[in-house]
Amino acid sequence: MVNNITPLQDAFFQQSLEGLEASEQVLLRFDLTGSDEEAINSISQITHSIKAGAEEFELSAITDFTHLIASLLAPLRTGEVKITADLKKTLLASVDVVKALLSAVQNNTAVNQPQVDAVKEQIRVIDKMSQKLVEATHIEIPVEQTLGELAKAALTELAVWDIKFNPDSGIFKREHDPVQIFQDLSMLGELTVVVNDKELPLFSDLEPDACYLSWHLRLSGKINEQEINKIFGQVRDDCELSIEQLDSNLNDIHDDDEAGENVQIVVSERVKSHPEPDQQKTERQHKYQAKIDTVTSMQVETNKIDALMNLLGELVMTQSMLSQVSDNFSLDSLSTLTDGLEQLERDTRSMQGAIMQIRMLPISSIFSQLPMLVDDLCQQLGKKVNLKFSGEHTEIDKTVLEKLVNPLVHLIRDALEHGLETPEARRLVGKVETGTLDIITDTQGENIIIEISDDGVGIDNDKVLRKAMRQGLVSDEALLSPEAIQNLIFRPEFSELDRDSGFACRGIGTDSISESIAEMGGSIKVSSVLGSRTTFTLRLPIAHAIIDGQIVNVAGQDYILPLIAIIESLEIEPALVKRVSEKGELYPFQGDYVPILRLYQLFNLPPTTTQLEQGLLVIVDADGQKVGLFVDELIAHQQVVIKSLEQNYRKVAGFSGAAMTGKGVVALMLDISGLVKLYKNSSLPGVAMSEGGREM
Amino acid sequence: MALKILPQETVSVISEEVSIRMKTEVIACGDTLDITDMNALYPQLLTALLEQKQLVFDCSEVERIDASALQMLYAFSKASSLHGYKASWDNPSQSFINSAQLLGVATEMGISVSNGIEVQA
Repeated sequence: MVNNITPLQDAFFQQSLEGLEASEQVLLRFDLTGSDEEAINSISQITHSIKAGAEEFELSAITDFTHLIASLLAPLRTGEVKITADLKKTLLASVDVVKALLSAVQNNTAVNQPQVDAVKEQIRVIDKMSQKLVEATHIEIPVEQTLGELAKAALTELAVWDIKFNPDSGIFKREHDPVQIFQDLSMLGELTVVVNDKELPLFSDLEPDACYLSWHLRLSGKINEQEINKIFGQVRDDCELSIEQLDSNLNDIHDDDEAGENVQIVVSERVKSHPEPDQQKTERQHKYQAKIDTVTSMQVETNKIDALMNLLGELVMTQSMLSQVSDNFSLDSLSTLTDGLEQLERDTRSMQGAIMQIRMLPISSIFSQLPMLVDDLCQQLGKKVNLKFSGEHTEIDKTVLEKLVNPLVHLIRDALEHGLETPEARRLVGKVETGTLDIITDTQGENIIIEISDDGVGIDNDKVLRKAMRQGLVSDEALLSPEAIQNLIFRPEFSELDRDSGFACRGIGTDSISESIAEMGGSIKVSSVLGSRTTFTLRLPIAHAIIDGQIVNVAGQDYILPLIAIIESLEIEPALVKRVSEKGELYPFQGDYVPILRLYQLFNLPPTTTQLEQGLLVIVDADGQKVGLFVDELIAHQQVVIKSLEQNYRKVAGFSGAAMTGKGVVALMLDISGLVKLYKNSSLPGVAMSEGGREM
Repeated sequence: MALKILPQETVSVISEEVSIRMKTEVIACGDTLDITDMNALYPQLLTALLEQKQLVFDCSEVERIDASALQMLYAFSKASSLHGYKASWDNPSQSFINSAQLLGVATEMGISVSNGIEVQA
């Protein structure tokens, strides 16, 4: 173990991890039907580079493991073996192991040895298979041998036979048994079996005595064609059969168009000590989240650094000019001073923009891992999904990006688990078996919009509403818009598994997703058409650290409201205010009634005024609910640099951070959702949540 | 052929409002399972699928299983997975494992290969 990481070693770790990420991407994109020499060479180079570095730093576990990978890649590079689904899986698992080994050294922690051993075993088995196939390819026959001698050699030397066996559907009825046939073949030599189940119907359509499977076999040993023909003799008329001896272009058994996702190789079944599939999924998903969480350094394009350097140059010049003015100050130089200060402001803003730009990363950096996650989940759930991206080059602040991972993963999990149907269920309702999951990213002003949309079952508004009524979230007489009903799912009461509504969210729940998004200064909404489509729309500030804020004053204190949450500010006409027993004050807004939250009451501050007409009502959006915040006055619209309360002090309900205002004082940033929760839990008159509807 | 349904075990999965009872049945495969058993086995499996029963196949005594039977179990295993649960194979005999491997369906069926063999002369 390396306890003290030197800068050189750190660079090695960073480069290795980047290389492994690149390898992973290459492997995920790998098309099994073709060959991609360049891709294989690229993975091979990365492997050798890591191996060399590990040798240099005496990291024997990494050296040994990368050596194994290199041996696996060697026949691929020479073209003697083609990549298969199993090989691809093994290489992906190997990438995971090397990452784990690197991480263990970096953090001085123990590695999950059973996992490493399982993948090692997997590699050895596949390596052994490859070697056998390659050996079989390299049967050398002296050129001077006659044709007769060649035939003789074929009879006596090691041969590899490629057999395609496609029995007709009635073969079982005629009492022919492929198990017995393959058993007999296996007595001749080493047999590899790949089953093709493409013709297998749904279980409900199965005819018990019909054969739907076909097989692709590879038989190697000192075998002649006659022996094979003899075994197939009785079924010759009941099947399509091809028997070919392979020569120098011997390839892996997956190399034809019959290979589908259900092909299996018998000999690969010795690889048995892998983690259980569910465990693998969990690890993959955890790894996906950890991947972003553990990013401690980032690559920055040189043009961004260059832009920053240019701005720095201008800033230095302005500062120099101001120094000169200061040294020789007179009233005559006042205009020069004003110009200088204006220039300083421009330079500072530009500098701020350039620095923020450095922190911007394309959202594709988290999207690139999603196909793997979706693939895992689809296999786990038996579903078929076509994952589509759009706008993945949109850039977003690194902090927002990191915080986006959890909500994104949970929304995708929900879409796959509870939104999209199984192929069978989709077929029954007339949909194509493969569902679609669209992730569309776009920018609108200073915000990034992410839409996660699936063409699954949708949300049943009636069921959601019934449940909301049963739980007392809305009154029985409530008339809610479809949008308002659907957005009820973000309430904590809907966060648990709810089969009734067909919408559920495991783990942190939809309310927590909403909470996370709100903490980022964003918002989330859902819209759905039953049986057709569900779309979650996330709206987030592009840069989390600096946001557009509205400074408001309440009881002599300044607070910051995220501008993104404000719908409108209005003067209150007292005559329009309705006071409902146990429900507090309500104010009409856009055809609905919104509850009035008197912030001075909530914060327990002595009010400057209690008269509503003397203050302002700021209508804000709290997770799809409109709420009116009663404030004394609006101070200014300002960009503020948000500091985390949680990191610098502790988490405070109702506040999402703090920032320095233009006046040089610290103001707290209001968390709208948190405020609503705080209000509901307080002893103040209850909030009559309009849910955007007409509950009165 | 000795297909036999053994006494049920019942596992309850209870959500807040909906109670789903996933029944578990054990099917004893006997010593031979072949095409002559398929017409009887198929409706049993189809019913189990429709009733969301979790089936455990006792394969401990299997001495011979043919391709039609393996194809049936394979198809059932895949259909079960689509419905969110797995058919399981209790203590599969070596003959059962070997036959599933020979047909190339063992991995997909999740048959234990702890005693698995490489198909080799």
